Amino acid sequence: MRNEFSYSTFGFSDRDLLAALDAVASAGFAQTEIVGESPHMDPPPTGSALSALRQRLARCGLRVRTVHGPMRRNVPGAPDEEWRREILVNLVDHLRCASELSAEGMVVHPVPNPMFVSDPDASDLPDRMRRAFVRSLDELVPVAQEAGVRLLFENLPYDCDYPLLSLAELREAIEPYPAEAAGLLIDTGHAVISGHDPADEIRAAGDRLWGTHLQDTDGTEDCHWMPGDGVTDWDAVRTALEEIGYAGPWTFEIGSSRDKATREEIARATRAMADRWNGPSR
Amino acid sequence: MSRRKILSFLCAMILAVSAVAQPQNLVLNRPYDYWPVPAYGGPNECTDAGDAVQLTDGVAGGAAWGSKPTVGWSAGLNVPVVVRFDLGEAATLSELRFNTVGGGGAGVVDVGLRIYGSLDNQDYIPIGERKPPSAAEADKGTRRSIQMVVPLNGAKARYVAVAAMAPDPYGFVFVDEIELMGVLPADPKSILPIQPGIPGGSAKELQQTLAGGRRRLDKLNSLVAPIERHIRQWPKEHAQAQERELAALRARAIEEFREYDKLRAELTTGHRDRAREVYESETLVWEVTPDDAFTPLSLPHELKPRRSASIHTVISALEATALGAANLTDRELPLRISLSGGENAAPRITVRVGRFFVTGNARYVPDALLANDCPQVIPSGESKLIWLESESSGAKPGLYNYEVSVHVGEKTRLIPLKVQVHDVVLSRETPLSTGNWSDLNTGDGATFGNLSEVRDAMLSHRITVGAMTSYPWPARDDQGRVIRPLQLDFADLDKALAFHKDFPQISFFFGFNQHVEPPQRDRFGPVEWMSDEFKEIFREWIGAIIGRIRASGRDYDQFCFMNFDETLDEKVEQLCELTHSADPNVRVMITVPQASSKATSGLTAAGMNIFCYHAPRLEYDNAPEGMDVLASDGRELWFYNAADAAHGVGKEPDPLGYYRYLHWTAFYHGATGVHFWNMLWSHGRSPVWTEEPVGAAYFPMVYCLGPGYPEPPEDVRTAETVIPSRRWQHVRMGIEDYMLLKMARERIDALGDDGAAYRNQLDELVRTVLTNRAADRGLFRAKRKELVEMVEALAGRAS
Repeated sequence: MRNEFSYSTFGFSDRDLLAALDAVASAGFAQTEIVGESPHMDPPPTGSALSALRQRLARCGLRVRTVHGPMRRNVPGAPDEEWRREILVNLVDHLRCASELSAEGMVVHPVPNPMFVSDPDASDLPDRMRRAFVRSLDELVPVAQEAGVRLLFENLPYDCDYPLLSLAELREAIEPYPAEAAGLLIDTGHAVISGHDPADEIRAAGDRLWGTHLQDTDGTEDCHWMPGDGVTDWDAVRTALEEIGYAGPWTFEIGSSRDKATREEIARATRAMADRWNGPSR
Repeated sequence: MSRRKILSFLCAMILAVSAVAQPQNLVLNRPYDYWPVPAYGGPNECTDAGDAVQLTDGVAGGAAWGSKPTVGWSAGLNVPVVVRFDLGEAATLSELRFNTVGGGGAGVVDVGLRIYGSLDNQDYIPIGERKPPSAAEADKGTRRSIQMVVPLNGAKARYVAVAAMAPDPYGFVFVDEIELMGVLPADPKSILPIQPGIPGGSAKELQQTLAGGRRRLDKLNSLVAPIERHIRQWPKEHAQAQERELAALRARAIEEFREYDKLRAELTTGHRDRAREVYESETLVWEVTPDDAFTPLSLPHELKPRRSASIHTVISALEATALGAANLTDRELPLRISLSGGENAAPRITVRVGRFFVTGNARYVPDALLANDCPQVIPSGESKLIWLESESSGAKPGLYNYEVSVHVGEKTRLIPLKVQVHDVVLSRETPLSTGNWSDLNTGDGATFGNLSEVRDAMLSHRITVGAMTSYPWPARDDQGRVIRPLQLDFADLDKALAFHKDFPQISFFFGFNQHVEPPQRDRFGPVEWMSDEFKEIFREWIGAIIGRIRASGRDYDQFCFMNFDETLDEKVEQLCELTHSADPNVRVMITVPQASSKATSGLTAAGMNIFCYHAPRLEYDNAPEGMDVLASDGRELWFYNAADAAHGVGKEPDPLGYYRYLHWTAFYHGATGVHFWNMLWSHGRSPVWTEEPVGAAYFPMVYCLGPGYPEPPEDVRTAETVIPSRRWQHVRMGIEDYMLLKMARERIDALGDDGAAYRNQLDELVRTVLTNRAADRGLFRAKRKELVEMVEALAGRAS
């Protein structure tokens, strides 16, 4: 089976969504992940804007495999209840938009960046985050089931002792929820800079892994470089994905490159590299 | 072109001679606006509805300050009063008469005046000044009616603003009548001086600029300009919150202008906190174009900025890119940059950090590029510009990889830098007359240190025309008469010629002045301008100087004489003809602010060899109708930029749209020279390191450290003694763009008909650049890369 490659509109965050979709398609990709924030989707489109988006997707021959839900404070593990309730509305709005676009999954950051937390050193913080995460899933999973969109919780690179940052831990947290509504996403760059082996994380996620953010890093920064530009062992990543029988999209979330000047060049080079990963056409 | 007169223009009006005939009062019964509103009220005082017409009603003299025909402003006024006129069309102005009231008994009516002229109602240039009297002097005139006469020297303007300010502690301004003498329409040869101006539009705006409120608002607007670009990508809630705060601060800026620092701190803190949430990071590093309109509040235009940088260059060229580095923490952080990579035959990469200045027109610009040995910090909530330049002399074609490590506090960001050296070699010689009128003053002993270093910096920057003012004036006897035959001491000239020997050309400025009588002052003794005796002395004098220059090894095409500056006065024609009568082979040059055939016909008829046209507003399809004439029949057309409302002056003009761009304009319009005012700090009047007040400008394109120069502030600690600016680096990059354009055209021409496709591509490329000016910096970068690739491909075709 040939892997199905998707290219995130993140790679064209210098332009609006419609132009970004054109660029993704021009680079040779047939699938995409739409970033659910400015300048691409803020707020989620409705009515005529949604129709225009669908038309553009059709014209480009692009299929939306995933939508990246809103980021920053929009996390189900918000430790403050008022905060959690406030952002749940945003997540639900994006979930419904993902459904309208026939996306299979929506990427969600499980817990906040420490900079958003007013009491980052509070001793009960990890426990509050875990409980908030569970409460949020209790509310989001029925919506996801109704929408037919799987929630994909992403591993994060925060330098702190918060819970739910690794796929191993996230797997345990989503275990009680149905697989068609709650899955996981491996961000390879996040794994490396967190000190985790991406291949180990992939194996830990196992059959709950339904999404990828393939990007390279220098080992310390969230670089979003093209695979091969940084320190990631890509053979090991691919082997691990094959071992678990991964059937989700191979999504590139790339913003720059060591030796390609323009975003278009990077996208085309990524496409060519992906073709090499798939081997000769049959 | 001597900018010595920039401010001294106002002081040197000793013997103003109007260039126009039969001047009349151009504002008689003409409407005007003023600010502040007159306020010497009460039923028995002067303020009344008639104030709107009484300043120009033709009735002068006799009014007392309490009487109704007077227009008065109350005591204690510590800001200027501005009265503005629109003459309907441009006029040539001879003088302004400001009639204050007389007959009062308890106050002061003598005031200082500064007169501003404008052609576009946007930029007001100072055209005349009367210094305010001291308080003691002012007090003497309380009972007399005073007519203050301010010479305007034939300046050309449509809009005229009069700023009046009484000396402390009196603060009264009482005016009976204002008369503006001149002729309408303007004499075609009259000009508005090329000088720093202030922004206008109305008396109120001008007054607010002069009083300070408007300036603070302009500063705020400059500071926040990048915010309005980058919040377009922010999540809507953050963007809207930021917009609300900006609107509130703008509303407060004029009223609370004395609290500007506090407003700025509030703005920075709020912006910082929002940015930290939006970018989810406490430090940011991202690539920007080297000409970016960067301020301390610049941030990436993308939420996840790219982590790489690139440069496309050719062999023997300077090219640059830049990074922004932001500190979103709540404390000041040190900034350090290190570089690794490259290999044999790789371009040399130099890292610098832009130092911010506040300019005379209230803009924040990162102008001086401090070497990487200078310790740097980034204040909380602010950003700095990191300059990365590639010098490719001796490099070989290929792709070179470097890594730039940017340390902001404890955080290190690794930025890969890719430098692509294309297989194109720029010649050592520069096929363009380039200069900046920097008088290195080396004939009679250096006034400043580092002059050799400045000269070397000019030469390595492909400056081909050295400017000199070292030459002898004739010796005179005890009665001041010139001793005949002339006695000339060539020692200074010889030293200066030796010092400038590596410049392919030299331009001599003799500094005749059309505004004084006689224009040669007393340098040739008590002789009348253009009398037979004057002509004899001049011919002998100029002939001897020419001979000395020729004896030093310079041919006629390696030097030229500039007698006057920025004028179309007929005296320029007279002296040009006289110079050629001494030696027909010598080249005479003049800087001209206009290029219409009517205005320049006298000069072309007189045999002017080089026209150096002030061209900041010249674009793709707006060439003045006479420009072709100036570039034909053996004449040379050069361009220069000095000061202009559309682009600013001194430090603030856009490095791309003003400096680099002019070389593209020159290529397109067939000019063979590009010059800028100026490079060296040589007059000491402009603030160098501190904030510039309204109307001031630091023109030099380098910052010198050492003997004779101002002591640098604490934050400037570097071993480098000639510190480049972004403007200066863009000049060299522009010169090299010109060379690439010229190479492209020559290679295309060599292909004949086979070059048609390339010719169309080059035409379109130049058109795209010139019609977009600095509107799209990414587009310029892309088009320049296309040019480099075209020249490279053309080499392949030729071989």
